[in-house]
Amino acid sequence: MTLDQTPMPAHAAEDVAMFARPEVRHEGALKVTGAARYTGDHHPAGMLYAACLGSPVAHARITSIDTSAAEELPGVVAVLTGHDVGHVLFGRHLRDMPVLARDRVLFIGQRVAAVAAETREAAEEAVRLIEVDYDDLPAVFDPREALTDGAAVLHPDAASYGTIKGARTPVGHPNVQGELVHGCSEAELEEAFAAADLVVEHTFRTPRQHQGFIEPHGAIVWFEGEICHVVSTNKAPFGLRQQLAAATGHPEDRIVVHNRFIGGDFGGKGFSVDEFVCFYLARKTGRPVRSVMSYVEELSATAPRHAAELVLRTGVRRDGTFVAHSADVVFDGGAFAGAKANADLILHGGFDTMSAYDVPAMRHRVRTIYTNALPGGHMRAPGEVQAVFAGESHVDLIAGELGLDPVDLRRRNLPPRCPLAAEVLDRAAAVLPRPAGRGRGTGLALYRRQGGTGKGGVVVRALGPDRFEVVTGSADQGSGTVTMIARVAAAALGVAEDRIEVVQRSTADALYDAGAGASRVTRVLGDATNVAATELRGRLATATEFPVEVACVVEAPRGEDNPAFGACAVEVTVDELTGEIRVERAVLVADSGTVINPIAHRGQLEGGFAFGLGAALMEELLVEEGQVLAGSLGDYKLPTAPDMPPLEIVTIASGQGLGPFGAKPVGEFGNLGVPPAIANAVERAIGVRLMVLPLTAEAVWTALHGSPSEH
Amino acid sequence: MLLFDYHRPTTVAETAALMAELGEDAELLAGGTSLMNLARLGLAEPAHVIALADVGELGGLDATPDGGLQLGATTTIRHVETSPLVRGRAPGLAEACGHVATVRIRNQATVGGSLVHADPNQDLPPMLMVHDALARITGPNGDRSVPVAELFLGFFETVVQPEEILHSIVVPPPARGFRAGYLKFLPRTKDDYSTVAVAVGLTAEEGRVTAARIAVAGGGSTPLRCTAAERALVGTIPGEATALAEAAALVREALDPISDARGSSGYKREMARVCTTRLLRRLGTEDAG
Amino acid sequence: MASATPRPVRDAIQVTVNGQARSLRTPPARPLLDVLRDDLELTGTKEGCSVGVCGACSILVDGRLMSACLVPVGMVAGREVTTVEGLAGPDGELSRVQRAFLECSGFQCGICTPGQVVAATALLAENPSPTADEVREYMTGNLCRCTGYYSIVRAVLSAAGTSATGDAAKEPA
Repeated sequence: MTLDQTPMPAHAAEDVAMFARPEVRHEGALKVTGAARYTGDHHPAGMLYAACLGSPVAHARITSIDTSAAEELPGVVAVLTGHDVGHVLFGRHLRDMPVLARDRVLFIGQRVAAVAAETREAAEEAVRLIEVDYDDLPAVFDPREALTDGAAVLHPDAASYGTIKGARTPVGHPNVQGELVHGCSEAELEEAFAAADLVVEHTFRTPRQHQGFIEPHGAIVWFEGEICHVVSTNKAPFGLRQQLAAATGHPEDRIVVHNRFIGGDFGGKGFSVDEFVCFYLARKTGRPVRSVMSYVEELSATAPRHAAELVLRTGVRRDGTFVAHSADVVFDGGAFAGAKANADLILHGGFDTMSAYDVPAMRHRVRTIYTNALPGGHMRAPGEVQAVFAGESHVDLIAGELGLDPVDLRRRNLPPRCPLAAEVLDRAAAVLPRPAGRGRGTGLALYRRQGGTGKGGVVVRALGPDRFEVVTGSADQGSGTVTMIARVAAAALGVAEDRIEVVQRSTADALYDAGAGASRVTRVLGDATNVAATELRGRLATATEFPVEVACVVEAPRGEDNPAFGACAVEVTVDELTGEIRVERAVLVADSGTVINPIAHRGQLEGGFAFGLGAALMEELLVEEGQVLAGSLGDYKLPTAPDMPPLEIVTIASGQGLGPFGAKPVGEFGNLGVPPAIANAVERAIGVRLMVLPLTAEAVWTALHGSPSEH
Repeated sequence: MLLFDYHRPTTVAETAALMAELGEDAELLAGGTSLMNLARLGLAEPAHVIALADVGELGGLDATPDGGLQLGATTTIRHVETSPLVRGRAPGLAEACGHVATVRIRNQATVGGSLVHADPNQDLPPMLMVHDALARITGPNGDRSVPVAELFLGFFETVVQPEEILHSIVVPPPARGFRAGYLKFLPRTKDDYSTVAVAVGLTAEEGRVTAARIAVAGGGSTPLRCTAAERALVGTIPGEATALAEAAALVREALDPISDARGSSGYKREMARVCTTRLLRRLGTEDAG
Repeated sequence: MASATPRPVRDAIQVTVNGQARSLRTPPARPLLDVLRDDLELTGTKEGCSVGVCGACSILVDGRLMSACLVPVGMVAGREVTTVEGLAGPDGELSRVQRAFLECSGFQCGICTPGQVVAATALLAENPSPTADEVREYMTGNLCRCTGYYSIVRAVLSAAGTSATGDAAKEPA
């Protein structure tokens, strides 16, 4: 059974009541005992260790590569360069990334050569013995500069690139990865602006930030005859299968991806890098090849959050009513667009500068630009984190200009007939005491987020009258997919949760799923489970032979309206002598619909808050002339346990979501509002407005005292 | 990383003999927290490593008869931090040790390692400096004693010669009326290296400062004593605002930090000033322990 | 003098891992982490940052919490190493700390979890009834990118039998 439009099955109240009980993760025992096996934990017989050589220069022609010393090192089984692999390009949508560079390198860290060896030590040593000569080319590091005449062109052959689905839509400037304009016409916009009493414009900047999962990217590839097997950290196994097939030409039905446990994702694990070179090393050696990135590589050769510059302009009436809004958003796309999963090659989150409000005339222009730095990728609410920081800072600035209370200004501009938005805003505002004197302030941010969509299916099978399994091809990057599926199945079947076993299968033995990401799994796989289990329940009454199974594929249409409102409010103190910002307490309000896994739901919000706190206060992947400056997690700091303030979670269970039983997405909901809420609180505390992330102590200090004097 | 040969001597004499035989192909290994990192990243490539863990005479943490302390080079930071003896005789030292990285690292990292590694951001050196601690160094020509304040030459460089071993640290008994404190400025995370950190030791008698020590981590290419600031405090009332502001400004002037992700050079100097002010104020209101 | 020079370690390294005597023929320079994972197939100890920061490779050496990535295997000769696999009871019954992590969902993706569980075990051995602040302080070196630490702190306090009152994250009724 395949359904485009999912009917909402009706369920008895007692079946749904089980969702109130805190869940115990089905895979939990494997995780707390260390028995859960992640990519790097697999060690197939005869396995070789892979290591890769990265480019040390930002833009250069490769004049020669000498691999002879590496090849002679004892233990080395194979060495590959771009010439061995050939002109093979990969990417999540646009295939613009070579497996190994051939003639040119475009960023520091780009893969130039690879080794497979009997030991990790030999592989690493061999990489160091490879000698490459480079002839430097002019490089471009600033996206706006990349659009000027005479700027270095990174991809002279851009027009010839394919996508994983076929040819590429042509683009104007060769350094533009993608560009999309959305909203009313320019004429309509200007007419709306003309009716404003006040027009304000602000420019905001946000840095590259790394997803910071504790498990670096890794992959194992081996062949059994013509079948290519893959275990990797990719959270979208079917997507990886498609990308591997498109790049290598190996038939998609002869690639089997077995991903199960993934050690954190946060948007970064949809992008695969070394799976491709492992494919060629495995094919060449006839043995399983495993590559696990070091964290040095993780920080310099993957795809962190895009840096962005956002110019926001809003027209407003004296009473605070928004009449027009425009945003020009430029994302630094880095040297390759291959880490972006969508056909527009932009981050659609860039459109969300003011999406929580009702603005009659809006126009957004969003661009991603090639520069000679590591590729821009997806990270927890891609584009939206940047847009909401800008938008919600902008709204407070407008309130300041008009002399209005920031909460009142927001309330005035909420979408009509949307009591939920008002409730979210009011609940967040209610817990905030008024600022008590200089150095202490409160701030708030409101946001509206659409959940992800796409296709996914499960098979629900009755093994006996009271024993069931659900087969899914989804990998679990930690969000609790398996437990969610089990609980939805249990509720739909009207049985106890322990009657259900969720079985994760490879791409060869499960229905397609678009993968974990964009907070889509509960919406799509939850729905598929619900529909299939409900249908199965009906059949059980007459079933005499087992197994009985129902398969269901759901395709949530792109652009469906499944919004949720959220708000973050914080109270900060600012040390004016050091610039240090301390979040004293925080509250997250989430319009969550029906909560299926209450503990995981709370965990997503708490963890999201921590994620947002890091993005707000400390995280910046510094890149200087294309060189990533952070060499480890000792430099790129992630928040630690004592860095976390008291946090209150407020859940509004409206039951209006499009997910199963009215569930709404929550995965990217906790982090979005934290940076602007803190920036807004800082301004109320000390009168300083910061428009660049992260909000470091030094930035605050400099805003208060001016640039520190050097010697 | 290179798979170095691993040696496990049990006496200082054996260690010295190995060092003489292996020369610059060998590195000493204490806790491993620095050397293993450097080796793994290919930044150190020793052919031989001489592990000091079994050299009993390099370990230990003892009271000296005069009321001071002797810390063996291989004594862990965690041992110093949690030792009742240290808490009694040099509480400032225990305090500084409690700020080193994380518990797990403190269980491995050693007193000697944190000195000879000579990373200017380490927490222990400035605190040992304000205690006028001495480093006992043993070598082919016998032992010598060097004030910790004179141990450091530059980034990752000390006066300890390739054929010498840092044997132990002697912390003299604190003078009557001595108190010490440590302020580590961590604007990012709790487990970070400091942007700057300041150690202060004050001795006061009859309401006047009779001796002062100020040392800074992260203020330049070495941990650094700020003698001009120390002099400015002598004779003043502990915690008195003008005096401590003057001293703190002199600390700022004494520093030449590098700019990095933890702050620009100018900001680090300003933060050293602020931290010094705050620490002097705190110590001014504390009773001498 | 030269006669006093001992030879480098070439013999098998004798070490007790999770209560079992092991004789390891391997270069003593190799990180204990690699030996545990690749040679002994104890893959519960994870590799994250490889530089002693993240805590995913937390283990106990003679009961003390350490980073397996920073310990050359030669260093544990004659000593007792405990990994996450050594915490459960003989019949596989979960330890008190493991049970608490499971019940409180002190994990999401699970990659840092073995390290968190080992660190919490070390903490409770030193301090059987820590406060929430003491838990956070002791476990500073065990990074978790998923949970924001709130559920980890709840789990450790629950394992200690300490009330979670005063814990940082609270949810109104």
